[in-house]
Amino acid sequence: MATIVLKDYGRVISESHVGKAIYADIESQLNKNGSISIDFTDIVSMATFCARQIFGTLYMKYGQVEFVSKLSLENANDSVKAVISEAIRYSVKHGTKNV
Amino acid sequence: MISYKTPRKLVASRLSSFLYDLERIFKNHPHHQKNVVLWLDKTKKMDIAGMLVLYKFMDHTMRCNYFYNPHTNIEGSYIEQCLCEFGFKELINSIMNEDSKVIDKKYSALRLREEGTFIISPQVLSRSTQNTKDNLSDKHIKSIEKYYNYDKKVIQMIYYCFSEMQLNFWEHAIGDERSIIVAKGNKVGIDIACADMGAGIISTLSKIDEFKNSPPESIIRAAFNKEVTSKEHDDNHMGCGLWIVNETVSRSGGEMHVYSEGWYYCNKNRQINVYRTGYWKGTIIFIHLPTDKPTEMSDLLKIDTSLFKN
Repeated sequence: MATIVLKDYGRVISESHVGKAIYADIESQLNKNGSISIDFTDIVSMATFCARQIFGTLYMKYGQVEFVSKLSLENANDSVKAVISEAIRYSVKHGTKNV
Repeated sequence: MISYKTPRKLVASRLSSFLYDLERIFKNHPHHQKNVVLWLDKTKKMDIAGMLVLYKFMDHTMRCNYFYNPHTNIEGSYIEQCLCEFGFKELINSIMNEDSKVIDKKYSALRLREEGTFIISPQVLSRSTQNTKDNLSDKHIKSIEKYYNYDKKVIQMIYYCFSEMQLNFWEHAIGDERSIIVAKGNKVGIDIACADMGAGIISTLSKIDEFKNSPPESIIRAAFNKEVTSKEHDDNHMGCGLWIVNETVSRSGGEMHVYSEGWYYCNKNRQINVYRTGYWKGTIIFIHLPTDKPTEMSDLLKIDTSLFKN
């Protein structure tokens, strides 16, 4: 399974253009490989904005079952897990249209 | 002679008297006003919020040509010592004597002190400045991790508050591309302050339907609630930034002081109070986070374990 190492984008994911690049990378790898793992090792924090931009959008696109089968989110710290979980909850509630 | 005087204590919890003194500027927008003196010698105590307000005031009035050849009695004052310690003095010298392009290059690098304190010297939060990104990510992470290496929760607490404050100012400081962030920390706690002269909290939120007819006091209280955002809900904003900072401050036993457009929001000992204050165009946010009971995101937000492999 292909792996995207998030720390290649910086240890703090807090900017819109970085979120956009990560989203594009994930989609590109998914198109090639069908499923991928995303390695969060050494990621200190992820802004709520970026969490929604990347994972909220992917969750809304693929739905719960496909999201979990296509994306293996690995080695995230509890804070990053909490922010991604909240971003997905929020996206389900309000929808996500733009990356 | 037209005088502006800094008070005896220019600290986050007591900025009101100085802001009342400054609001003449925002109301009158003078042009090349003569015989202006800024008296700084009364001040005997100042924190990073006080420094930031003083600096932004001087920077703004010089850039807008409000005063003609103003005078200050900064030399030898307590304020001068503080400004030197934090790297503001060089910036103030620049704004008095140089053009804005030169000033932008003068923002200092992060400083680490051997005597037990670290300082994040003033950083301009400009989207167009690559240095900002570099300073706020790689350099700061390494320094903060090194300094608080005994507790990962402390590092995460600081970094989430820092990032959300930074992002909030980036996104909302409309009309002021020069929001500034500064921080000071030791093993007991960290202070972070950010200020701009862009669109403030009240004018930003009052544009949306939910707050169109709300009084300013209600708006400023609501700004710290979850899912309150001036952006459209389909714009990736979640309205969580100020809520995260406010909740983290409450749970860790810290303090938060916010001044925006004539209103003052204070969160201290988990008690929220809102007061009228002198008008400041834009927003000033100061937080103090003690490090003895750090709060992280998983204390505030529930993890959906089904999403993660490990």
